[in-house]
Amino acid sequence: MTTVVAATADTSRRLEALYREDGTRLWRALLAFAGDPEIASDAVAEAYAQAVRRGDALRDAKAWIWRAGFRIAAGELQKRSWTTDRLPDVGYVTDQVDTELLDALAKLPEKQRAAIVLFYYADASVRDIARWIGTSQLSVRVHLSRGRSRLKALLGDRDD
Amino acid sequence: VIVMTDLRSRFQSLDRARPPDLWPEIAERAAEAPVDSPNRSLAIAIGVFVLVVAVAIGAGLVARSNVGSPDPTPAASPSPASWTGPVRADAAALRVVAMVDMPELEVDGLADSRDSREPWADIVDVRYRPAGGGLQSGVDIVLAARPPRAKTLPADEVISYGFVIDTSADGTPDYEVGIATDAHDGGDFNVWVTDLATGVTDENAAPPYGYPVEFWHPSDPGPLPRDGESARTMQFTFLPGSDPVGFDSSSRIYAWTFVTRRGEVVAWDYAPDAAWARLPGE
Repeated sequence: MTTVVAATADTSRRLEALYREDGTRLWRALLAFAGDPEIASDAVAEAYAQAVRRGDALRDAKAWIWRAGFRIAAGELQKRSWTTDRLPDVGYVTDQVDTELLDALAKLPEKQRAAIVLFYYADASVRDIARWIGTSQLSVRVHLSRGRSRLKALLGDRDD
Repeated sequence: VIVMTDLRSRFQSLDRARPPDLWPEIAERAAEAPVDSPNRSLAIAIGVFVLVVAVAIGAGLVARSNVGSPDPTPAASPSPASWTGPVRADAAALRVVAMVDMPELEVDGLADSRDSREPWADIVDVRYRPAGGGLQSGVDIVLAARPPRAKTLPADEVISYGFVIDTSADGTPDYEVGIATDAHDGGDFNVWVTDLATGVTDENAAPPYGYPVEFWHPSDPGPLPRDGESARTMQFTFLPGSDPVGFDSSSRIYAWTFVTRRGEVVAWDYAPDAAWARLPGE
Protein backbone atom coordinates (compact mmCIF):
# COMPACT_ATOMS: atom_id res chain seq x y z
CA MET A 1 0.00 0.00 0.00
CA THR A 2 1.22 3.45 -0.78
CA THR A 3 0.83 5.52 2.32
CA VAL A 4 2.14 8.85 1.16
CA VAL A 5 -0.51 11.47 1.66
CA ALA A 6 1.55 14.58 1.23
CA ALA A 7 5.11 15.49 0.78
CA THR A 8 6.89 15.58 4.08
CA ALA A 9 9.30 18.29 5.06
CA ASP A 10 12.04 15.71 4.89
CA THR A 11 11.10 14.81 1.32
CA SER A 12 11.06 18.45 0.35
CA ARG A 13 14.49 19.01 1.87
CA ARG A 14 15.85 15.95 0.11
CA LEU A 15 14.53 17.13 -3.23
CA GLU A 16 15.82 20.64 -2.66
CA ALA A 17 19.25 19.14 -2.04
CA LEU A 18 18.90 17.20 -5.29
CA TYR A 19 17.87 20.38 -7.07
CA ARG A 20 20.89 22.26 -5.72
CA GLU A 21 23.15 19.45 -6.89
CA ASP A 22 21.57 18.48 -10.19
CA GLY A 23 18.94 21.06 -11.16
CA THR A 24 21.35 23.33 -13.01
CA ARG A 25 22.59 20.47 -15.16
CA LEU A 26 19.02 19.45 -15.99
CA TRP A 27 18.17 23.06 -16.87
CA ARG A 28 21.13 23.30 -19.22
CA ALA A 29 20.27 20.00 -20.88
CA LEU A 30 16.71 21.21 -21.38
CA LEU A 31 18.02 24.49 -22.77
CA ALA A 32 19.95 22.52 -25.37
CA PHE A 33 16.91 20.35 -26.06
CA ALA A 34 14.30 23.10 -26.26
CA GLY A 35 16.49 26.01 -27.33
CA ASP A 36 14.47 28.21 -25.02
CA PRO A 37 15.41 29.17 -21.46
CA GLU A 38 11.78 29.79 -20.56
CA ILE A 39 10.77 26.28 -21.51
CA ALA A 40 13.79 24.91 -19.66
CA SER A 41 12.84 26.80 -16.51
CA ASP A 42 9.19 25.79 -16.68
CA ALA A 43 10.02 22.14 -17.27
CA VAL A 44 12.50 22.02 -14.40
CA ALA A 45 10.11 23.78 -12.03
CA GLU A 46 7.15 21.58 -12.95
CA ALA A 47 9.11 18.34 -12.84
CA TYR A 48 10.51 19.11 -9.40
CA ALA A 49 7.15 20.37 -8.13
CA GLN A 50 5.46 17.14 -9.21
CA ALA A 51 8.24 15.16 -7.57
CA VAL A 52 7.72 17.03 -4.31
CA ARG A 53 3.99 16.31 -4.47
CA ARG A 54 4.66 12.64 -4.98
CA GLY A 55 6.71 12.53 -1.83
CA ASP A 56 8.29 9.20 -1.07
CA ALA A 57 6.38 7.43 -3.82
CA LEU A 58 9.27 7.96 -6.22
CA ARG A 59 11.85 5.24 -6.07
CA ASP A 60 14.43 7.15 -8.08
CA ALA A 61 13.61 10.82 -7.89
CA LYS A 62 16.47 11.97 -10.09
CA ALA A 63 15.60 9.64 -12.94
CA TRP A 64 11.92 10.49 -12.66
CA ILE A 65 12.63 14.23 -12.70
CA TRP A 66 14.86 14.00 -15.77
CA ARG A 67 12.24 11.96 -17.61
CA ALA A 68 9.42 14.28 -16.57
CA GLY A 69 11.46 17.35 -17.43
CA PHE A 70 12.14 16.20 -20.97
CA ARG A 71 8.55 15.14 -21.50
CA ILE A 72 7.21 18.42 -20.18
CA ALA A 73 9.59 20.34 -22.41
CA ALA A 74 8.62 18.20 -25.41
CA GLY A 75 4.96 18.94 -24.71
CA GLU A 76 5.65 22.67 -24.56
CA LEU A 77 7.54 22.55 -27.84
CA GLN A 78 4.63 20.74 -29.43
CA LYS A 79 2.18 23.35 -28.20
CA ARG A 80 4.40 26.09 -29.55
CA SER A 81 4.56 24.42 -32.95
CA TRP A 82 0.78 24.67 -33.17
CA THR A 83 0.61 28.31 -32.22
CA THR A 84 3.61 30.00 -33.81
CA ASP A 85 6.53 29.40 -36.06
CA ARG A 86 8.50 32.15 -34.39
CA LEU A 87 11.84 31.13 -32.97
CA PRO A 88 12.22 31.58 -29.23
CA ASP A 89 14.08 34.54 -27.84
CA VAL A 90 17.32 33.20 -26.46
CA GLY A 91 19.00 36.58 -26.31
CA TYR A 92 20.14 36.46 -22.75
CA VAL A 93 22.05 33.22 -23.17
CA THR A 94 23.53 33.82 -26.61
CA ASP A 95 26.69 35.31 -25.17
CA GLN A 96 27.13 32.34 -22.87
CA VAL A 97 26.62 29.24 -24.96
CA ASP A 98 27.54 27.81 -28.35
CA THR A 99 24.58 29.16 -30.30
CA GLU A 100 25.74 27.45 -33.48
CA LEU A 101 25.32 24.17 -31.66
CA LEU A 102 21.87 25.16 -30.36
CA ASP A 103 20.80 26.16 -33.86
CA ALA A 104 22.00 22.85 -35.26
CA LEU A 105 20.27 20.89 -32.51
CA ALA A 106 17.03 22.72 -33.23
CA LYS A 107 17.07 21.24 -36.72
CA LEU A 108 17.09 17.66 -35.43
CA PRO A 109 13.90 15.67 -34.86
CA GLU A 110 12.78 15.72 -31.25
CA LYS A 111 13.98 12.27 -30.20
CA GLN A 112 17.28 12.57 -32.02
CA ARG A 113 17.85 15.87 -30.26
CA ALA A 114 16.93 14.45 -26.87
CA ALA A 115 19.18 11.44 -27.36
CA ILE A 116 22.13 13.58 -28.44
CA VAL A 117 21.75 15.99 -25.54
CA LEU A 118 21.30 13.28 -22.95
CA PHE A 119 24.21 11.26 -24.26
CA TYR A 120 26.76 13.98 -24.98
CA TYR A 121 25.88 16.49 -22.30
CA ALA A 122 24.20 14.56 -19.50
CA ASP A 123 26.35 11.43 -19.90
CA ALA A 124 23.23 9.30 -19.66
CA SER A 125 23.38 5.65 -20.64
CA VAL A 126 21.54 4.34 -23.68
CA ARG A 127 19.30 2.40 -21.32
CA ASP A 128 18.37 5.50 -19.33
CA ILE A 129 17.82 7.54 -22.46
CA ALA A 130 15.45 4.89 -23.75
CA ARG A 131 13.42 5.06 -20.54
CA TRP A 132 13.37 8.83 -20.39
CA ILE A 133 12.29 9.54 -23.95
CA GLY A 134 10.01 6.52 -24.20
CA THR A 135 11.63 4.35 -26.82
CA SER A 136 13.77 1.23 -27.14
CA GLN A 137 17.53 1.08 -26.67
CA LEU A 138 17.88 0.11 -30.30
CA SER A 139 15.98 3.22 -31.33
CA VAL A 140 18.22 5.35 -29.13
CA ARG A 141 21.29 4.01 -30.92
CA VAL A 142 19.67 4.83 -34.23
CA HIS A 143 18.81 8.32 -33.00
CA LEU A 144 22.39 8.84 -31.86
CA SER A 145 23.84 7.64 -35.13
CA ARG A 146 21.54 9.73 -37.27
CA GLY A 147 21.84 12.72 -34.99
CA ARG A 148 25.63 12.64 -35.20
CA SER A 149 25.47 12.45 -38.99
CA ARG A 150 23.05 15.33 -39.17
CA LEU A 151 25.13 17.46 -36.82
CA LYS A 152 28.19 16.72 -38.92
CA ALA A 153 26.42 18.12 -41.93
CA LEU A 154 25.11 21.13 -40.04
CA LEU A 155 28.24 22.04 -38.13
CA GLY A 156 30.82 21.02 -40.70
CA ASP A 157 33.77 18.71 -40.35
CA ARG A 158 36.00 19.50 -37.43
CA ASP A 159 38.42 16.63 -37.25
CA ASP A 160 39.63 14.40 -39.97
CA VAL B 1 34.11 13.71 -38.96
CA ILE B 2 32.86 15.19 -35.77
CA VAL B 3 34.33 12.95 -33.15
CA MET B 4 32.77 12.33 -29.80
CA THR B 5 35.26 14.48 -27.92
CA ASP B 6 34.58 17.42 -30.22
CA LEU B 7 30.84 17.18 -29.69
CA ARG B 8 31.27 16.83 -25.97
CA SER B 9 33.53 19.88 -25.85
CA ARG B 10 30.98 21.94 -27.74
CA PHE B 11 28.29 20.88 -25.26
CA GLN B 12 30.52 22.09 -22.45
CA SER B 13 29.69 25.64 -23.46
CA LEU B 14 26.31 25.00 -21.84
CA ASP B 15 28.08 25.06 -18.49
CA ARG B 16 28.46 28.81 -18.90
CA ALA B 17 24.70 29.34 -18.99
CA ARG B 18 23.34 30.49 -15.64
CA PRO B 19 19.79 29.42 -14.84
CA PRO B 20 17.66 31.31 -12.34
CA ASP B 21 17.12 29.86 -8.88
CA LEU B 22 13.90 27.97 -9.46
CA TRP B 23 13.43 26.48 -6.01
CA PRO B 24 11.08 29.21 -4.73
CA GLU B 25 8.85 28.60 -7.75
CA ILE B 26 9.11 24.83 -7.27
CA ALA B 27 8.04 25.16 -3.64
CA GLU B 28 5.16 27.40 -4.64
CA ARG B 29 3.95 25.03 -7.34
CA ALA B 30 4.29 22.02 -5.03
CA ALA B 31 2.25 23.74 -2.36
CA GLU B 32 -0.65 24.30 -4.72
CA ALA B 33 -3.57 21.91 -4.48
CA PRO B 34 -2.90 18.77 -6.48
CA VAL B 35 -4.40 18.68 -9.91
CA ASP B 36 -7.83 17.24 -9.46
CA SER B 37 -9.99 15.45 -11.91
CA PRO B 38 -9.29 16.54 -15.45
CA ASN B 39 -12.90 16.00 -16.22
CA ARG B 40 -15.10 18.46 -14.47
CA SER B 41 -18.37 17.23 -15.83
CA LEU B 42 -17.55 13.66 -14.99
CA ALA B 43 -16.41 14.68 -11.54
CA ILE B 44 -19.79 16.27 -11.01
CA ALA B 45 -21.44 13.12 -12.24
CA ILE B 46 -19.44 11.01 -9.86
CA GLY B 47 -20.31 13.39 -7.07
CA VAL B 48 -23.89 12.48 -7.78
CA PHE B 49 -22.88 8.85 -8.00
CA VAL B 50 -21.13 8.89 -4.64
CA LEU B 51 -24.06 10.70 -3.07
CA VAL B 52 -26.34 7.94 -4.24
CA VAL B 53 -24.03 5.40 -2.64
CA ALA B 54 -24.03 7.21 0.67
CA VAL B 55 -27.78 7.63 0.75
CA ALA B 56 -28.41 4.04 -0.23
CA ILE B 57 -26.01 2.63 2.34
CA GLY B 58 -27.44 4.90 4.98
CA ALA B 59 -30.91 3.64 4.26
CA GLY B 60 -29.77 0.08 4.57
CA LEU B 61 -30.49 -0.70 0.99
CA VAL B 62 -28.70 -3.61 -0.45
CA ALA B 63 -30.84 -4.28 -3.43
CA ARG B 64 -29.91 -2.68 -6.63
CA SER B 65 -31.19 0.76 -7.40
CA ASN B 66 -31.20 2.77 -10.56
CA VAL B 67 -29.13 5.78 -11.41
CA GLY B 68 -30.51 7.15 -14.61
CA SER B 69 -31.86 4.22 -16.56
CA PRO B 70 -32.20 0.62 -15.46
CA ASP B 71 -29.59 -1.92 -16.42
CA PRO B 72 -30.38 -4.62 -18.89
CA THR B 73 -30.46 -8.30 -18.33
CA PRO B 74 -29.21 -10.96 -18.08
CA ALA B 75 -27.02 -10.17 -15.11
CA ALA B 76 -27.40 -6.78 -13.63
CA SER B 77 -24.32 -4.71 -13.22
CA PRO B 78 -23.67 -3.90 -9.60
CA SER B 79 -25.46 -0.70 -8.94
CA PRO B 80 -23.95 1.91 -6.69
CA ALA B 81 -26.12 0.76 -3.83
CA SER B 82 -24.79 -2.76 -3.96
CA TRP B 83 -21.19 -1.86 -3.22
CA THR B 84 -20.29 -3.32 0.09
CA GLY B 85 -17.05 -1.46 0.57
CA PRO B 86 -16.79 1.99 2.04
CA VAL B 87 -16.16 4.95 -0.15
CA ARG B 88 -12.70 6.34 0.24
CA ALA B 89 -13.08 10.03 0.78
CA ASP B 90 -9.96 10.90 -1.17
CA ALA B 91 -10.68 8.46 -3.92
CA ALA B 92 -14.30 9.46 -4.23
CA ALA B 93 -13.25 12.94 -5.22
CA LEU B 94 -11.35 11.34 -8.03
CA ARG B 95 -14.39 9.34 -9.07
CA VAL B 96 -13.15 6.01 -7.79
CA VAL B 97 -15.31 4.02 -5.45
CA ALA B 98 -12.94 1.76 -3.65
CA MET B 99 -13.71 -1.85 -3.01
CA VAL B 100 -12.23 -3.42 0.06
CA ASP B 101 -12.43 -6.73 1.86
CA MET B 102 -13.68 -8.47 -1.20
CA PRO B 103 -12.80 -11.89 -2.44
CA GLU B 104 -9.97 -12.18 -4.90
CA LEU B 105 -10.34 -13.75 -8.23
CA GLU B 106 -7.41 -15.52 -9.76
CA VAL B 107 -7.95 -15.78 -13.44
CA ASP B 108 -6.00 -15.38 -16.61
CA GLY B 109 -8.61 -13.05 -17.97
CA LEU B 110 -11.16 -11.09 -16.05
CA ALA B 111 -14.12 -12.34 -18.02
CA ASP B 112 -17.30 -10.50 -17.16
CA SER B 113 -20.91 -11.18 -18.01
CA ARG B 114 -23.03 -9.04 -20.32
CA ASP B 115 -24.46 -6.80 -17.69
CA SER B 116 -24.51 -3.16 -18.69
CA ARG B 117 -27.15 -1.06 -20.34
CA GLU B 118 -24.94 0.05 -23.21
CA PRO B 119 -22.97 -2.63 -25.03
CA TRP B 120 -20.06 -0.27 -25.54
CA ALA B 121 -19.99 0.35 -21.79
CA ASP B 122 -20.16 -3.37 -21.11
CA ILE B 123 -16.85 -4.98 -20.20
CA VAL B 124 -16.65 -8.60 -21.26
CA ASP B 125 -12.97 -9.21 -20.55
CA VAL B 126 -9.87 -7.54 -19.17
CA ARG B 127 -6.35 -8.65 -19.95
CA TYR B 128 -3.03 -7.71 -18.47
CA ARG B 129 0.00 -7.60 -20.73
CA PRO B 130 3.22 -7.89 -18.72
CA ALA B 131 6.34 -6.24 -20.04
CA GLY B 132 8.81 -8.50 -21.79
CA GLY B 133 10.09 -9.60 -25.11
CA GLY B 134 10.39 -6.03 -26.26
CA LEU B 135 6.76 -5.32 -25.41
CA GLN B 136 5.57 -2.85 -22.84
CA SER B 137 3.13 -3.56 -20.05
CA GLY B 138 -0.49 -2.69 -20.45
CA VAL B 139 -4.12 -3.51 -19.89
CA ASP B 140 -6.76 -4.32 -22.48
CA ILE B 141 -10.45 -3.79 -21.75
CA VAL B 142 -12.61 -5.76 -24.14
CA LEU B 143 -16.10 -4.33 -24.67
CA ALA B 144 -19.25 -5.96 -25.96
CA ALA B 145 -19.45 -3.50 -28.84
CA ARG B 146 -17.41 -0.79 -30.44
CA PRO B 147 -18.29 2.64 -29.03
CA PRO B 148 -19.38 5.54 -31.21
CA ARG B 149 -16.79 8.02 -32.41
CA ALA B 150 -15.98 10.64 -29.83
CA LYS B 151 -16.72 13.43 -32.29
CA THR B 152 -20.22 12.10 -32.94
CA LEU B 153 -21.33 12.03 -29.32
CA PRO B 154 -23.84 14.59 -28.06
CA ALA B 155 -22.14 17.44 -26.27
CA ASP B 156 -23.56 16.37 -22.94
CA GLU B 157 -22.49 12.74 -23.19
CA VAL B 158 -19.16 11.41 -21.95
CA ILE B 159 -17.84 7.87 -22.19
CA SER B 160 -15.02 6.86 -19.85
CA TYR B 161 -12.98 3.71 -19.53
CA GLY B 162 -10.26 2.82 -17.10
CA PHE B 163 -8.89 0.61 -14.42
CA VAL B 164 -7.74 0.89 -10.85
CA ILE B 165 -4.52 -0.64 -9.58
CA ASP B 166 -3.78 -1.92 -6.11
CA THR B 167 -0.03 -2.29 -6.41
CA SER B 168 0.47 -3.85 -3.00
CA ALA B 169 -2.62 -6.05 -3.01
CA ASP B 170 -3.81 -4.67 0.31
CA GLY B 171 -7.27 -3.60 -0.83
CA THR B 172 -6.45 0.07 -1.09
CA PRO B 173 -6.37 1.48 -4.61
CA ASP B 174 -3.09 3.14 -5.51
CA TYR B 175 -3.57 4.36 -9.09
CA GLU B 176 -6.42 5.10 -11.42
CA VAL B 177 -5.87 5.05 -15.16
CA GLY B 178 -8.59 6.41 -17.38
CA ILE B 179 -9.67 7.88 -20.66
CA ALA B 180 -12.74 9.97 -21.42
CA THR B 181 -14.26 11.53 -24.50
CA ASP B 182 -14.34 15.04 -23.11
CA ALA B 183 -10.98 16.28 -24.29
CA HIS B 184 -10.73 19.98 -23.63
CA ASP B 185 -7.50 20.82 -25.34
CA GLY B 186 -7.98 20.04 -28.99
CA GLY B 187 -7.92 16.27 -28.94
CA ASP B 188 -10.58 13.59 -29.04
CA PHE B 189 -9.72 12.12 -25.68
CA ASN B 190 -8.57 13.05 -22.25
CA VAL B 191 -6.28 10.43 -20.73
CA TRP B 192 -4.94 10.45 -17.23
CA VAL B 193 -3.12 8.56 -14.49
CA THR B 194 -3.93 9.52 -10.92
CA ASP B 195 -1.77 8.63 -7.95
CA LEU B 196 -4.59 8.05 -5.47
CA ALA B 197 -2.30 8.35 -2.47
CA THR B 198 -1.13 11.83 -3.35
CA GLY B 199 -4.04 12.94 -5.50
CA VAL B 200 -1.68 13.99 -8.27
CA THR B 201 -3.07 13.52 -11.75
CA ASP B 202 -0.98 13.44 -14.91
CA GLU B 203 -3.29 14.08 -17.81
CA ASN B 204 -3.12 14.67 -21.51
CA ALA B 205 -6.09 16.06 -23.40
CA ALA B 206 -4.51 16.60 -26.78
CA PRO B 207 -2.03 14.98 -29.08
CA PRO B 208 0.72 14.02 -28.99
CA TYR B 209 -0.46 11.32 -26.64
CA GLY B 210 1.72 8.64 -25.13
CA TYR B 211 2.31 10.20 -21.76
CA PRO B 212 1.23 9.48 -19.04
CA VAL B 213 -0.19 6.37 -20.72
CA GLU B 214 -0.38 5.38 -24.35
CA PHE B 215 -3.72 4.12 -25.63
CA TRP B 216 -5.65 2.83 -28.54
CA HIS B 217 -9.32 3.73 -28.34
CA PRO B 218 -11.72 1.47 -30.21
CA SER B 219 -13.69 4.44 -31.53
CA ASP B 220 -10.55 5.86 -33.09
CA PRO B 221 -10.04 4.47 -36.58
CA GLY B 222 -6.28 4.48 -36.10
CA PRO B 223 -3.67 3.81 -38.73
CA LEU B 224 -4.45 0.11 -39.10
CA PRO B 225 -7.80 -1.56 -39.75
CA ARG B 226 -9.13 -3.60 -36.89
CA ASP B 227 -11.92 -6.06 -36.81
CA GLY B 228 -13.50 -8.58 -34.49
CA GLU B 229 -12.49 -8.30 -30.87
CA SER B 230 -9.66 -5.89 -31.54
CA ALA B 231 -12.18 -3.36 -32.89
CA ARG B 232 -13.90 -3.21 -29.50
CA THR B 233 -10.86 -3.29 -27.24
CA MET B 234 -9.73 -0.30 -25.22
CA GLN B 235 -5.99 -0.68 -25.00
CA PHE B 236 -3.69 1.03 -22.49
CA THR B 237 0.08 0.71 -22.70
CA PHE B 238 2.70 2.19 -20.43
CA LEU B 239 5.63 3.52 -22.35
CA PRO B 240 9.05 2.64 -20.98
CA GLY B 241 9.55 4.39 -17.69
CA SER B 242 5.90 5.39 -17.40
CA ASP B 243 4.63 2.42 -15.42
CA PRO B 244 2.99 3.37 -12.15
CA VAL B 245 5.35 2.58 -9.31
CA GLY B 246 4.91 -1.01 -8.23
CA PHE B 247 2.59 -2.05 -11.06
CA ASP B 248 3.51 -5.58 -12.02
CA SER B 249 2.04 -9.05 -12.06
CA SER B 250 1.71 -9.04 -8.27
CA SER B 251 -0.72 -6.12 -8.42
CA ARG B 252 -4.48 -6.37 -8.41
CA ILE B 253 -6.85 -4.42 -10.60
CA TYR B 254 -10.43 -3.84 -11.52
CA ALA B 255 -11.68 -2.16 -14.66
CA TRP B 256 -14.56 0.27 -14.96
CA THR B 257 -16.67 2.10 -17.49
CA PHE B 258 -19.01 5.05 -17.10
CA VAL B 259 -21.36 6.77 -19.47
CA THR B 260 -22.78 10.09 -18.35
CA ARG B 261 -25.49 12.14 -19.96
CA ARG B 262 -26.27 15.60 -18.72
CA GLY B 263 -24.18 14.91 -15.69
CA GLU B 264 -25.91 11.67 -14.71
CA VAL B 265 -24.34 8.25 -14.77
CA VAL B 266 -26.61 6.30 -17.10
CA ALA B 267 -24.56 3.18 -17.73
CA TRP B 268 -21.59 1.60 -16.07
CA ASP B 269 -19.77 -1.62 -15.53
CA TYR B 270 -17.02 -3.11 -13.44
CA ALA B 271 -14.85 -6.14 -14.05
CA PRO B 272 -14.72 -8.05 -11.85
CA ASP B 273 -18.15 -6.93 -10.69
CA ALA B 274 -17.39 -7.03 -6.98
CA ALA B 275 -13.80 -7.97 -6.41
CA TRP B 276 -10.23 -7.17 -7.02
CA ALA B 277 -8.66 -9.41 -9.58
CA ARG B 278 -5.24 -10.82 -9.15
CA LEU B 279 -3.21 -10.63 -12.32
CA PRO B 280 -1.99 -13.77 -13.98
CA GLY B 281 1.58 -14.68 -13.14
CA GLU B 282 4.30 -14.15 -15.66
